[in-house]
Amino acid sequence: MKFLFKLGFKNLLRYKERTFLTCLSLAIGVCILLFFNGMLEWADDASIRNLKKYETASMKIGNSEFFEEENYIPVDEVIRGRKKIEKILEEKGLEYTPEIKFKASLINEVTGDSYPFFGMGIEAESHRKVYDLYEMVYEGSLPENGNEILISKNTAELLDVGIGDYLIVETDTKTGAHNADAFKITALFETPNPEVNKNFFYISIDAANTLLAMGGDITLISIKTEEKAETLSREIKKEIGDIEGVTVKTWGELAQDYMDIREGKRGGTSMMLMMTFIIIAVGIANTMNMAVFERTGETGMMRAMGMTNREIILNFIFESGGLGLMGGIMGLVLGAIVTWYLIQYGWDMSNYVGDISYGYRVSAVFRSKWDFGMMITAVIFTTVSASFISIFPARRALKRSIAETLKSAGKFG
Amino acid sequence: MKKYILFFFCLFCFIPTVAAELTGLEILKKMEDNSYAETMVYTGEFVINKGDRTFVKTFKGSSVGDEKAFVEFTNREDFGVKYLKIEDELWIAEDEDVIKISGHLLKRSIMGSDFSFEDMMESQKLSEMYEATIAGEEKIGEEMCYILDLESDKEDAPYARQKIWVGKENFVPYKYEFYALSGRLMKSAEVLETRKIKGKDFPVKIKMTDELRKGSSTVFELKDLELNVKIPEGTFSRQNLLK
Amino acid sequence: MKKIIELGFKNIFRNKRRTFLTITAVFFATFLVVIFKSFIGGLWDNALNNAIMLETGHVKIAHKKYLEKEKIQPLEYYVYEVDKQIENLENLENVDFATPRIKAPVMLNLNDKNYYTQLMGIDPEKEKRFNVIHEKIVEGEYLSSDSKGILVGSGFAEKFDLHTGQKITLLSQTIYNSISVESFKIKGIFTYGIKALDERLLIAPIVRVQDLVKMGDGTTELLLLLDDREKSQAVEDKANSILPGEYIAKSWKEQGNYYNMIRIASQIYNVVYFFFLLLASFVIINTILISVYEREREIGALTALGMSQGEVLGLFVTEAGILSFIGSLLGSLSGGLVSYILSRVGINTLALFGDTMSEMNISNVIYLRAEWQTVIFAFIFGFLVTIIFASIPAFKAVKVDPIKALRAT
Repeated sequence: MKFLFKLGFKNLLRYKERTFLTCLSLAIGVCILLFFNGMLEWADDASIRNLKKYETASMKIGNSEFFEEENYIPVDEVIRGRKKIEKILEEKGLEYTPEIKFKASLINEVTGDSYPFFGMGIEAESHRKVYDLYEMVYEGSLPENGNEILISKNTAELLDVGIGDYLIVETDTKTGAHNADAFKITALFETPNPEVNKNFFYISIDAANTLLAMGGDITLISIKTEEKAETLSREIKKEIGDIEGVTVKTWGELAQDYMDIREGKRGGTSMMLMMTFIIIAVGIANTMNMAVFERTGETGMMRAMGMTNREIILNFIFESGGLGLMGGIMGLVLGAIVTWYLIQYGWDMSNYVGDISYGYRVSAVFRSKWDFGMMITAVIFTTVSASFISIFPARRALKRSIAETLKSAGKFG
Repeated sequence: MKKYILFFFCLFCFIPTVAAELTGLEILKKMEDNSYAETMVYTGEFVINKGDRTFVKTFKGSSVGDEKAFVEFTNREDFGVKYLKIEDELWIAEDEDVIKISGHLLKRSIMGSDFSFEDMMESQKLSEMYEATIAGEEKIGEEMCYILDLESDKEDAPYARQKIWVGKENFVPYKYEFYALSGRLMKSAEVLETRKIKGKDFPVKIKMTDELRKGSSTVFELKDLELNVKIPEGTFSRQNLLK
Repeated sequence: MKKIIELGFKNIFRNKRRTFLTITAVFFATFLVVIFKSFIGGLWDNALNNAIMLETGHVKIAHKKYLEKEKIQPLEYYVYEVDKQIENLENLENVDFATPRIKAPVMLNLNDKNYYTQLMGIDPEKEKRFNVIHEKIVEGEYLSSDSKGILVGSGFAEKFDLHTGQKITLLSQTIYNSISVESFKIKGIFTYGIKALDERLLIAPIVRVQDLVKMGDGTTELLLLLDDREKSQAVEDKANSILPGEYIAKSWKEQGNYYNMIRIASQIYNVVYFFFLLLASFVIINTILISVYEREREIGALTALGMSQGEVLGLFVTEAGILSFIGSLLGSLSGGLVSYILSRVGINTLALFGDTMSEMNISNVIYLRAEWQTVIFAFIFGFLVTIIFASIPAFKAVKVDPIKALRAT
């Protein structure tokens, strides 16, 4: 066994250039796969990151009626047992922030223009720990005092306002009374998440509390965690179980529309895999075919010397498997270099990006992501499929009688 | 000398009490009584101004107190659109198609005017929702008015505060100001014309202005108005919507 | 020279196995190059076609203010006298036809609750010419121009338990800032394969929607469909010159993000394609090398027999040339043929990749983009790569000392 293994390996070394080139072909195939996969994983991740960083956090706690209502934002469906919930979260050492979400019109008093938006009453200090919005604010900072409002660059353009101008926020209170108040634009933001840019504005939670006459109530608690959201959400749900009407929604549940897009990308990767493996198959098949037939003479001799067919086939398997393994590893290294480069420097597409929307939330510099699972899979698959590809030509070669093979040995030498 | 001063002093003391000392609530109630009618049958129009565009909508309708109302639009563009209100429910129909409006949609404006369904539909009396105090007096046009300051402690009152200028003589509300919870003036209304019907002065032309959106106002006018007349059976019904 | 070519041919037929393998390698490489490019082309054609079909047309015409305030879909800014506009626009060069669409937010009352969704008014006959919706009807029928029918997405129908024949009543705003109510009978239910549409979109004949929003003979947008997608910029300019000032024409490239997305995706795929070519090259090179090394002995013999180095080289290159010509030709042509067939028949991505390519606005069936350019490119690519790389090692081999080569038996 060991002998066969060594023999196979030696054969590979005999034809260095050929081995090298075959390996290179495999390596490139694997590299392409890893490049593509890495980018998709990154995009996927980036998209999710944008979702979590600016929109959904890892999960939100709220009144179940609040989440169920799809036609409007029911500001009156507040969180009961807030203190208890917060205590549970603190015990778990989680970062959380309270929010009041509501629907409002922003009115430019001067022009009379108004448009509908979602308003978020936020608590600046804890918001920073759960979301990355504060990093996307240029000029000014998250609203903390009195009637400060943070709007996106898009919104500022739409309403024809700028920092220092006032906007009227018109909305209805928790009990349905009309309210409107002037807010000063103290900051502008632009996130990589176009949904947030187009639809949201931010005021301090105290201002929201007053504006909506919440009486100290809030409608959402958003949580950030590095752990798996589903697990943590279930844990929390259990612990707050006895508080009436409260539930937890993970980012996945909150962004339904996005979730479906993710699956489409799996398709893209499968296709890449398929194409790459076809190339691998062709490349290896070719090489091994040649290898087998040019060494028909050798094979004959080996048989004459007493090696069993099985051993000979195994020899070829090791040889091609070795090719596969070397090629795979080479590809792994190449792929790793490409991935590293992309992660470090990225691929700047900002010339082409307007503002990509429709579900996918990514920004202009494309990067990659380490996917060790795929890397290992690629190497294993390459090795395994390479190993098996040589079986067919090997078996065909063995079908001929020893005499015949020895005769043709002369021809091929 | 002292006797004189005392006499005049007493005289002055009495003068205020000689004039009818009405409380805010009483003024408010009188105002509501004045504009209350068992039944009303009317034709009218909305003139809606939105900055550079103007829309005129004419209608005819009838109502029973504050509980029921049936309105049909007669201008060309909205011909055939009908509204039916029964208590807190609202249906809108056009030709034979009917749709029901519920909940929060009642806060929307009627036909794009500055009046919301809620404004027109308010079933509850102001006197029941608000605490009224007299904040002073002011002349509006020819009429001397009480300035009533209405504050609500009911959280669901659409406007946290209202000011109404009520005529001292005829208890007609000549001017309204609607305030947001924040104290900001959101809408204002002005009675431009009243008409004497069955002895009462009835406001028949009102202008409502959106104080938040520049240039947005609506003038509501009742052209023919009959009070307390008999309204045919089945007027306030779904079938009537389908006719 | 002729002698060399003859000899080349002879050599090729002499060693059938090697010939076969080389041709196979070149064949496969060029074949896959064509298929890959066609598939990617098809993928993006699909995404683009969907965008064009659903949203942008090749050129879109609307009121300037409508586009400015598109967030709230302001019906009062619309295009008047649609028929006249259509006539003018259809006379422009490269314009195949113009079709109007109205998009209106509407409200329904279902299960005693009010819901908002989107209604789109279309010209059913003209839409058939570029929209595949009429092929996506799963229950009932497609619209006819004058019916009171409405099409409902399958997701929407499922959510509210709706079926053909049922009546739904819509409430909409009108251009006069007022309200209108109208009932429609569900004529058909469609499954587009794109979730956002299947769950939210209602489609009705435009005359009915014009009635509903009281737009007379107006429309919120006009889509121009061209005979050549690449002429959209030129048509946009011409359209802008003949349209009244309040309206504006925009080519699909300037609308939304489709163009950007496609450009980005193209960048990525071009890189992948490049590496793919590299890969294919290596396969070819590999095979050739095998042949060359095998024949080192022959080279020695030939040189010993008096052939000059140049002639030997010429022989090898000729052989390689013949093989690669045949291989590339067969490969690129078969690739072309298969991609052509698949451009008619389509690949079912649902079966290959599972559900929800639909989320990327890519349909369930992809038609490959069969282009002559791809075939020709693949052929030239295969041919050149083979020739070049056959020559290099041949050069090297030829330098080998003939005695040494002979001895290497």
